[in-house]
Amino acid sequence: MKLPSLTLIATLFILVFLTAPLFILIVQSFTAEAHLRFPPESFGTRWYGYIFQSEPWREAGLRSLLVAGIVAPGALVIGTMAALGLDRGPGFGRNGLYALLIAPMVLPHLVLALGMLHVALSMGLEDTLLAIVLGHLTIAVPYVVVTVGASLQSVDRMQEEAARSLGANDWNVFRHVIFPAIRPGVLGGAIFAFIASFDEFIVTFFLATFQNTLPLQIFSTLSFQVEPSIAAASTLVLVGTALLTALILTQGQVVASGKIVK
Amino acid sequence: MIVLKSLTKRFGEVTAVRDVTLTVTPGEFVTLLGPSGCGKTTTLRMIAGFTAPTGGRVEMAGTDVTGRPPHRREVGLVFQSYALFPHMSVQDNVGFGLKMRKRPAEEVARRVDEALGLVKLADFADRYPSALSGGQQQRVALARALVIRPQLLLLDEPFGALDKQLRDHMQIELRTLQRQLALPTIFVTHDQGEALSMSDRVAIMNAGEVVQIGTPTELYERPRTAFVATFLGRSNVLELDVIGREGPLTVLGRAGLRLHATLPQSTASTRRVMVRPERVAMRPPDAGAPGAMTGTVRAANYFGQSIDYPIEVGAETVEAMSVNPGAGGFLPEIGAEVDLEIASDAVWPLDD
Repeated sequence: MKLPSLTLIATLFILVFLTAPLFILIVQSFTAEAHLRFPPESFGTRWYGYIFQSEPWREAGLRSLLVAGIVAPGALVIGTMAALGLDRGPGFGRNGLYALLIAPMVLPHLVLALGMLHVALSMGLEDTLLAIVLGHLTIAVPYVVVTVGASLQSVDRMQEEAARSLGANDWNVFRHVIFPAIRPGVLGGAIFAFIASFDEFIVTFFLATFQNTLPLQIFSTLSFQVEPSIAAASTLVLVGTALLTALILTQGQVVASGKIVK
Repeated sequence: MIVLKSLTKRFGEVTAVRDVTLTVTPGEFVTLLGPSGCGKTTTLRMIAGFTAPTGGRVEMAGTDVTGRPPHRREVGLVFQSYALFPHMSVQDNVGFGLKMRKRPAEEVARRVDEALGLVKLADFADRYPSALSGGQQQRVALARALVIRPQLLLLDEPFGALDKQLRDHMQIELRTLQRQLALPTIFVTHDQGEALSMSDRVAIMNAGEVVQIGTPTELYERPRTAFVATFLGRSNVLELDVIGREGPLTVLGRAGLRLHATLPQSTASTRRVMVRPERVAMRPPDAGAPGAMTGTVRAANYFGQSIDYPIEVGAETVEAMSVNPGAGGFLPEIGAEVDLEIASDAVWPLDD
């Protein structure tokens, strides 16, 4: 008998290790009982119905969507402009500026959140949607800067020059040559930005008091009791995130195969 | 008429292009030829408007366009890499320049058809560049540059990425098209064969300067410097002593080498001259022949249509090239003695 190779065993082990908690969460979310238990004794969509009907859950979910819905396009515009500026602008101070722009990606969110709270308080913005949006933008913009910056590397300068010689001004060069080339990066960046905002906990926790977002709602529910509504909400977030990630991956494939979708 | 006046570009301490002056008359095909790094591409970029000169001017149709951005210059540009827009169909690529000029859709469609007809790609309008061969992509790039009816066509090593057969074919096609449209053209290349066969005039560049401008014949027959003589075709550059005069001819020589040349009177005791290998004739040795030089064949390099023979004459080695004479012709063996004959009009004095 041929033994499965060590690589295969290791791969399977790691896959199980990574996905088991998610699997347990999903199974639990379909419980028909009042408490979380694994495995549940009866199944149903009771808790999904609950979070869609419960006012705090609905409000938190809609707010999260609203915030991420503003943050993603905002980060897209700001991040794309920043990446273009870094790529095409004068070389002086470029590296420093880049480090500054992507710092929120590596800095502990706790540190950022503390600073943001001070700024929000001093501006009288505490517990406002605006403060949350601005806070999330800080977190989300770096993702766009990084992805768009990477795609800009692959833009063919010759194409830009060809377009210029054919009569295209800066805007038309961007619209007809640069943007189509970096579109996968821009889309990927926007999706990352959306996810970053939608999942953000610490920054929101510091800036909001009554403006609950979904992560805050999960947390506060968790503080009182271990209710299956948490599993249901988490599963929905998980599915949404997975779908968005799939979208990024398929975009990546389009680029890799060189096919252009009209 | 395109005029470059003392065009100069310095990058910090380095002068990439120095004092280039050149006129391209209507319909003329002028080539900038030189080794890589000679400044030919920088010159082209200054003409197109991508690089700002540090001195001098570019004039088109009597107007100074030196400060004008590329998109307002009416220059058609074709790159070695084609630089087609990958996300646009062939017709959208070709129509791009007209769209930028906000021409009405029916005019764009008509002129795109015309341009694609010119480059024989009428059936490929709906394809994407990725579905085209290298030669076809190059034609699209050409059509895209021609459709705007530019005042000047700039070609930057456009055939560099094509294989030899296709390149020869495209050269003829491009030249035919260029003549037909009477479009002033500046062609940048490092390929001397291409430059000789295609150009009305060639400007040879070296180290940022134009060293000689002329028709292919002038440059090949009467190069001014050893650089031109060796860069354009192959040549024997010989440093010889002035031995004396025989009638109107000057006798030059060193060791066993004797050449007769028509030289202007001068008091110099040595001269640098050039002889093309194909002007060095070889004969079987004949002790009785007057004025013959005898040398030893050092090698025979067979190229099919021709054979190269480095021949040792005294201390010098002279390259001789024989057009393949076929069976029965004279083909000396390596190590054999041969008589060399070099006509006086094959000896051209160099300035340096």
